[in-house]
Amino acid sequence: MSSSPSNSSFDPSGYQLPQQDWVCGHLADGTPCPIGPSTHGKCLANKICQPAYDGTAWHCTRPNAWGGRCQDGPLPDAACPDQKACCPHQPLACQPARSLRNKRRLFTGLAIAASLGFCLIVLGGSSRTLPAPLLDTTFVISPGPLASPHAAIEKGCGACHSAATESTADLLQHSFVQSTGDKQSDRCLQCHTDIGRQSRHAHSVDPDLLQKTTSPRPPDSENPKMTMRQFLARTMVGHRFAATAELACAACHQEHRGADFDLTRLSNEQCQSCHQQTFVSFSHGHPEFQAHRSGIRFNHVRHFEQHYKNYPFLMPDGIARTACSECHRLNADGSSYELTGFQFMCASCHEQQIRDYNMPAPLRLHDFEFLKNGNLDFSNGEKLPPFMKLMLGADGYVTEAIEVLEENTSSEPDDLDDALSTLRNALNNLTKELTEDGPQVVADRLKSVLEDSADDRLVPAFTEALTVSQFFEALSVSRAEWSSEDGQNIENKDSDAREASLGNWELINNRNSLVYRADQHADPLLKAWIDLLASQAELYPEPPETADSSRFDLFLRAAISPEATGRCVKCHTLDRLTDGSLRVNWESQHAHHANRGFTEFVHQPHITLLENRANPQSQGTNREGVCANCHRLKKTVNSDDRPCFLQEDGMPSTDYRHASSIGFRAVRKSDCVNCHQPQLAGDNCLQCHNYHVHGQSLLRR
Amino acid sequence: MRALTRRRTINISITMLISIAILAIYAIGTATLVTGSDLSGWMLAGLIIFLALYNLRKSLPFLPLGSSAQWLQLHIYIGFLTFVLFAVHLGLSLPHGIFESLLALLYLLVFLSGVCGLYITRAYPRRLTNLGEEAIFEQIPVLQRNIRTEIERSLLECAAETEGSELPVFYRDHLHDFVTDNPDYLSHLALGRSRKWRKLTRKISDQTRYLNEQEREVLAGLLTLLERKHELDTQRAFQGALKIWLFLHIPATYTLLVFMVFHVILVHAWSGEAG
Repeated sequence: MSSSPSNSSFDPSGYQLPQQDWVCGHLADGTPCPIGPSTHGKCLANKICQPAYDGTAWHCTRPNAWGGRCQDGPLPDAACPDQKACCPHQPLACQPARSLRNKRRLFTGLAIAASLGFCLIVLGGSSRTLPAPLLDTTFVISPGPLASPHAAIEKGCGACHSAATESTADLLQHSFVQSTGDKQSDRCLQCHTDIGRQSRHAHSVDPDLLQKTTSPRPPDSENPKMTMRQFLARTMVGHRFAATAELACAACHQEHRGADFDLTRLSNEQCQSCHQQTFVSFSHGHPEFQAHRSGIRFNHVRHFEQHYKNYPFLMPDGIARTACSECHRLNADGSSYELTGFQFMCASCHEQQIRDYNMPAPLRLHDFEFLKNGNLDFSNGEKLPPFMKLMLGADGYVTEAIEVLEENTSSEPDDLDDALSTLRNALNNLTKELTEDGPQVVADRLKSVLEDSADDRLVPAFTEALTVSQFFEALSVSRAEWSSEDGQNIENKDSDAREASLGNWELINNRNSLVYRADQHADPLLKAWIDLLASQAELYPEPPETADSSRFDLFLRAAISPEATGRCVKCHTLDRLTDGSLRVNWESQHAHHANRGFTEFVHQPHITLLENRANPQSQGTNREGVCANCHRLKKTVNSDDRPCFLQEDGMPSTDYRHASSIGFRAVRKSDCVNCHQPQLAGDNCLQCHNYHVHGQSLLRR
Repeated sequence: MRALTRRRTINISITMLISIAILAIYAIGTATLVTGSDLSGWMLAGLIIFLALYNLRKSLPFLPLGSSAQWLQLHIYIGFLTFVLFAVHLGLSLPHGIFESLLALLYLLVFLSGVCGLYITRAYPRRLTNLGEEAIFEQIPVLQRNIRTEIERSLLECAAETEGSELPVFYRDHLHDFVTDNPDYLSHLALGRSRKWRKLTRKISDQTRYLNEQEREVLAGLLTLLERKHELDTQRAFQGALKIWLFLHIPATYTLLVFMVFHVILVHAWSGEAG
């Protein structure tokens, strides 16, 4: 019989090596042929024996490795016995099978191809450059749902990512080359315009301004300043952003974290990683609060302890206030208390101090002298009104003449006459121009004498206030009267019409002077005039005798002195801005409250809590007691208290630390710590502090 | 201390120290405005590529790049390190997007298949050694076929000599399926034997009482052959497991590499303009 392919002559180590790609198809049955398939997976069973014909007979040529010569020999073909023969022991042909390694390789290749195909479909499938995408796959590559505030963006990914509108080729290019598209933060700011032009800098504030206005405050020294984690964080990466570096919006606002994700979430440690001074927590190391700064001077202690007790003698018409809620009303959103206004709070006592027509002559306030015409006599040391000097100052040659006349710097009579003549001519020209061209002349002349850096809004505000005050009508009247020899008669002829055309202006005929008297609170002309002067004053409050004060310093002193008409800065405080200029706080609340500042405090929930704690049965009946929980009157004066007014001359101080102006102690941190702890009401920095602030809120710090 | 234990202790200690350092850096990083996802991402990508190079290294044994055993040690411990980096890269949270979830699942598939592979390559060879003579995996079907042929030949000879049909019938009814069928892989891997084996031996034992002396001798020979077949089945299951886990690990690795490159492209294209 023939030998089987799986007989004992089979050497199993012949071809079945693990790294071979193909194995005999009969291997699964345990009967593989000895030769096995080719490396390309073709059956080689017919190659085992190639019968050889020697001219007379066929001979077996099977190699020993595959069984050797068989005794039976090949079987010649009946039709062509000398041309064809076949081996009777040739194994059955098979369909070679892949080896395990080959199957694994094939499986791996298929997986790679499938994953590549998937990625290419996803990458190009969105067809971003086509008008109508055939297959929108952006939802596949989106790293997650948007937060709910952004979920309604209709422009899709392109609203924030320029990549969303690029072709696939550009997209791949921009993956490895810096993108020329819009910065993502710029796209954020296309909608978030309220953050301002400095949005990329820390706290959305100009770095120089931030450094100038944020001096480090000492933390509580009894407690550790920082944890080891904070120390390591600051050592590794902190402080890098503190200076002038720009921050991307995404540094803090992490998108694609789901609809409920808080985009503004920031840990206390993250806040402190940039700050110059650190502390462990709000309760451990946070600096104590500073005393509250108000926009107006209102010493509560003095009013409660003295004025309200003595007012029947000093201010017979005055109305004393006894409760906080009489002057302070919670605003609509419950965030803060607003004042009820001058007329309700102050007018009963202080309005007559503004309107002082009936006061005896020695007590009357200095009028605001605007113009002076004719009768120019400088021999007794008299000076021109500030407004006139500013107007004439625009004509450069007149300034020297005024100086000669006022300072009497020349002893030559001819020089004095020339200067006087020059001044008269200039004054006539000025009066004529003011009468004919009105506000435009004022605006042009003011702009020529003001610094270039002056606020553009100041001059238009002043000219408008001047117009509304009927200055130009009063000027016409004054010209008519002073040019007439019978001015008194004109006045008597039509006194009603004259009064109406003068408004708050008054002609002082014996001095040929046009003066202004405030007759009500918040006089717009005085406000605009003082704003204008304050913006230009550089050295105030230095006394003019000891400093090289400019004319604006002198003019400002005249306008805000305790005797000046209106007595504006008796109550309204002055602030020194970071650019060195001054600004008056016309609003009752300090100016930085009007802007988004670093700190926010919502009164309503705290009031409710304190009311319930004080009297759970009846809410709202113990408001004053509730306020006093935090706002304690400061009845004693400490050595570090700054006076509201300079002691030397009674001029208002510009020191913002004059906390005694409202007579309250600073709110104590310990009052807040009772509740604001991690396990209770929370002590996250952002509960009270804003990250994005408006630069305006820092200008007065 | 044995060298293996010492080496393993050192390697585990180094891996744990590096893992703790990575987690500490992450914890410190969360106290800053620096997310560090770029750093962790590139480190993770680099390590995964290094791990994938092990397969290439095995294909190039002639290159002087260190022994395969050394590469395997690095492959194992760096593989565990990548899991720590992976967790840190995700910010210790779950991904939200579809593609990112797929990428994460792929990584977990590769990692877990690797862990399974580590167990298989450590536990099964020891159990194979206990089985006695080891057969080459590719030759097991041939050996089993030879056993089948031998059994059938013995049965035919016995039937011719004894002129009885009890043994052939018994073989047809009870033994044939066991001899010709593939092994019950799960049973062998879990129990180290076929669930049918005890039942089969009991049947053979029961059958003995019905046989004459000659047939009993033949049946005893059959039992020896069946035991060898059963042992080959066990070897086939264990050796198969040693090879099959790579069917998951290697294709998933290459798929992970493709997805990882795509992820890098997406991240840089869509957030490369961040600033």
